[in-house]
Amino acid sequence: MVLHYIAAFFLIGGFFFLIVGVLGLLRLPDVYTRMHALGKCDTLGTGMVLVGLMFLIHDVTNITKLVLIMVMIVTINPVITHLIAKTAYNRGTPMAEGSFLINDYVASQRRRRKRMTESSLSQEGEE
Amino acid sequence: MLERMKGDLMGSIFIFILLMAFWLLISASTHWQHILVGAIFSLILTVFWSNLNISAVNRTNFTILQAFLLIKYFVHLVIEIVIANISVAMIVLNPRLPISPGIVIMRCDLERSLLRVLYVNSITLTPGTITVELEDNLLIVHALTEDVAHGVEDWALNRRLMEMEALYKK
Amino acid sequence: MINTVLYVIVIGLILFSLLAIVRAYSGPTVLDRVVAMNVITTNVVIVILIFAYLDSSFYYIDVAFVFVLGAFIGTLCILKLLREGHII
Repeated sequence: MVLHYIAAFFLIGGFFFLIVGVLGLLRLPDVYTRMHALGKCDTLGTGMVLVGLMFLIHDVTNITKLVLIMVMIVTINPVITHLIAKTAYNRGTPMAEGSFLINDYVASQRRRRKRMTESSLSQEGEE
Repeated sequence: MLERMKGDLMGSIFIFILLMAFWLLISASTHWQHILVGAIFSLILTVFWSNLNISAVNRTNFTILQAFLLIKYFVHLVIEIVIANISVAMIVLNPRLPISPGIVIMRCDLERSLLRVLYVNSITLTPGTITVELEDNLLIVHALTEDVAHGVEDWALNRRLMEMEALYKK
Repeated sequence: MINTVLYVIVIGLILFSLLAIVRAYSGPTVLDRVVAMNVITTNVVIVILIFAYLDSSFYYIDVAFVFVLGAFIGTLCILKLLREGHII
């Protein structure tokens, strides 16, 4: 009976996140932001529902299959999300109005070089 | 095909045992016909995919410390995923929809391909960011709000991966 | 109690998949439709798995397995067609 309550918690939590995923798909303004709904909410929602089902099934074979499906979805979903985002970026799909762009490449390179020289200096000091 | 198998006998036996164990686990019966079918198919798969070269993967020096760091990383990742989902849920369910999306271009200093894959997948799964592109060490990230975009660089999971990379270099 | 929860989840997921079809129909670009179809696929997999429990006919789990793989390959094909202009 306690197992049923734990399972119900996981199932309802997963259902909530799946609903949030669909609502995000409908409400958010452009492809890139919709991808957030797909990549995060669907992954955790599926994972939670499958964990809830695992509490209900008392059979090692079927639990193994459920674990396999869970691992597959958790690895496939980010890959698909990344691929869709990459395709959208390469095709030049327009973003929503007022999107910003931060070019941090040069600055992070400079910061990294500074950090490396600092660490080498401190190591020399220790020696 | 067979020459490759002979060259990599330990790897082939490893694949065969792995496939056979998997078959026994999902077929859940000890009838001799089931076991025969499983053995035949495991053998066919091992012969045809003998170029997978599993023993080369085995030979990389994977120490206990690295396994421990990897497990710590995954526990941290699950916590981050839950936080990310709650933040996305707050944004989507808010009637005013408080987003300010945009793109951040930054550096990725990791060199091992496994760690790069882990890094990119965990960026996709953590608060408000998805990876758009990763060429040599140029990383393009899409962020959902502007606060998130400023915090991508010094991020706890990245530091854990850098620790693991430093272990590999030693 | 748990069966009621499962039935509510199944009905809710079917209704929200119908809502996601709105996005698949009206999405301004092709990629919106791909995203919507991915969400629907995930929902359908969960519905199949819950039916497998409710009906206690666990062969449906294998169906869900094949469904996940098929959806993955299908999405990959569409994306490759969009990126390179050919599949094979």
